[in-house]
Amino acid sequence: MSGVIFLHTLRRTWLQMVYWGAGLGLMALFTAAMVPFFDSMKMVELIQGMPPILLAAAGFDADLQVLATPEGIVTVGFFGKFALIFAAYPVVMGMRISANDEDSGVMEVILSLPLPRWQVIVERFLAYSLTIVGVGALVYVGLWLGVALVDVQLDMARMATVVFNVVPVLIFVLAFTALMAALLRRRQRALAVTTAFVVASFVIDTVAGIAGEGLSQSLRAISFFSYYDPAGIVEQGLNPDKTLFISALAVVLALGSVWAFRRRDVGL
Amino acid sequence: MAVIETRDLTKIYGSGRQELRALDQLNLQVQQGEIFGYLGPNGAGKTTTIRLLLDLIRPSSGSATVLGMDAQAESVALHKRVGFLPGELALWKGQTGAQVLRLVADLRGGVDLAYLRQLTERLQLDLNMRVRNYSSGNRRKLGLVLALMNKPDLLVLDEPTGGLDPLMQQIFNEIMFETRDEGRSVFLSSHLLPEVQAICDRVGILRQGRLITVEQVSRLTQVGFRWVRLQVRDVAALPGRLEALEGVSEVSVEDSSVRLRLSGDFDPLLRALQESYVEELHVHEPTLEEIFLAYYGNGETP
Repeated sequence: MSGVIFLHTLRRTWLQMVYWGAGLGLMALFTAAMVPFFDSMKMVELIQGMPPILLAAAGFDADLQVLATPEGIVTVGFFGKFALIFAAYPVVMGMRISANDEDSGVMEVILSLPLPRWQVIVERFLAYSLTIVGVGALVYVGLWLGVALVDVQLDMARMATVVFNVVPVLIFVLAFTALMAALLRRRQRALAVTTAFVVASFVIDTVAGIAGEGLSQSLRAISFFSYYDPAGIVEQGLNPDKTLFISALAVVLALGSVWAFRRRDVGL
Repeated sequence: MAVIETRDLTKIYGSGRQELRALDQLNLQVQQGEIFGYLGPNGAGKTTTIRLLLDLIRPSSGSATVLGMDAQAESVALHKRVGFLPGELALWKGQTGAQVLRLVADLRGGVDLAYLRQLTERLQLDLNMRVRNYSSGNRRKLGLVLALMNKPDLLVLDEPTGGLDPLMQQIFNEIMFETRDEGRSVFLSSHLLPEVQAICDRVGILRQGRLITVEQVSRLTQVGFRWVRLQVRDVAALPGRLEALEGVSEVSVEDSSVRLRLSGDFDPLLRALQESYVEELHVHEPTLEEIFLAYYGNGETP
């Protein structure tokens, strides 16, 4: 691999990465800065009075005592919906791996150069994966600044785990988008299927959370959102099995996108 | 030596009732050191052929070798020695011409920067503009520089002169002749007969996915006909029946203007006009479609 496509992709994407990172980082900063103004015990009492179904729907499926800690407040206040907001980013970038250039005709120029097709997909996939880490890093910086601003005590090592544990999940979304673009050819079709997949995953995760134990929990495993559990990390630490599984799945889907893109007509 | 050789190359899009046979059992040879014109109306299968040769799409059956290499199995090695200009050139709109050139040069590797500079100067290309601000002609020039930058053994150009002004077309022609003189080869597609006549050595004519004929370009119009328009001072002074003259047909008269179709030599017509005062005489080459119809009727080979 020459790395030219990788570097070119990074050069073209770094600004969007900064915008996304700055936006999400500011949200993290404000959330951290608000921590001293929360009366966490009152909040816990209030939440405990809510019906369990509403608690689950709102994403409070961990031990409510977690809320009494600064880490818990930040987790519920920001990281509860962090993956959902951030999931739009790998979809946008995943479309750039092949679909956008194929749609515009640029792919015809790229593939007429002495480059194997797999190299285009792999280098772009790696570059966009790196920008996901970059956005995560900026979110962590935002959180750190918020903590520094109000002098709140936060376990920053644990918060780093919370922030960066979203990366494998989002790389999975990136790989899924790349695979759909490689399989479906048409940009609009790939975007529609990927968006439906993200929305369906969110609905399954939420509904399964409300439903409680049983079959719904098994169903929940098919939602990629279930592989990012910030409250669980704050409460019990990282679940490496989940992280490894979603990472392996991302690799399989990425390889699938390479396979699909190599064997078909391009630019029709 | 053949730089392009296809054997029963066929491409079918879709299936069932939506099946479209875009290219049908193409057998074609392009020799080293020639400029080969690939001529056909829009939708004839020219771009499909080019995409198959460059492994952008895969054949339904048949095979192609380019520069002695299998177009599909050895595409990466092949692309090192081929320069390509697509018919509808799309580039990164937010980047400047210089950035696009640098990227493609980096991806190709081993590009002679002095030659690159010489090309951009010759084509008078402003490299500081963003691609989105280029006119269609300038975008075409940028595409030509991209195709030529590595001094390829084979140039594959899809409708290369669209949008170029006459001066640039002249420079383009010169570059094509230089390429041929250096022993390199050019395969260019076009639907414009004059463009092909101006620079090509041989022409392949494609129609509805089938190669109808391969001819020396000089023979292409010799075996055809021309349209002649005469502006005469007195129509009444014209010989009685122009149609009776050898090679003359489809005569129409409007005021003092006469239009006729002439096959073969001019001499019988010129002799017949000796008594008439001819103010103007215009000769038009037949259009591509007219050549098709004149030679092959409804597509049947004579």
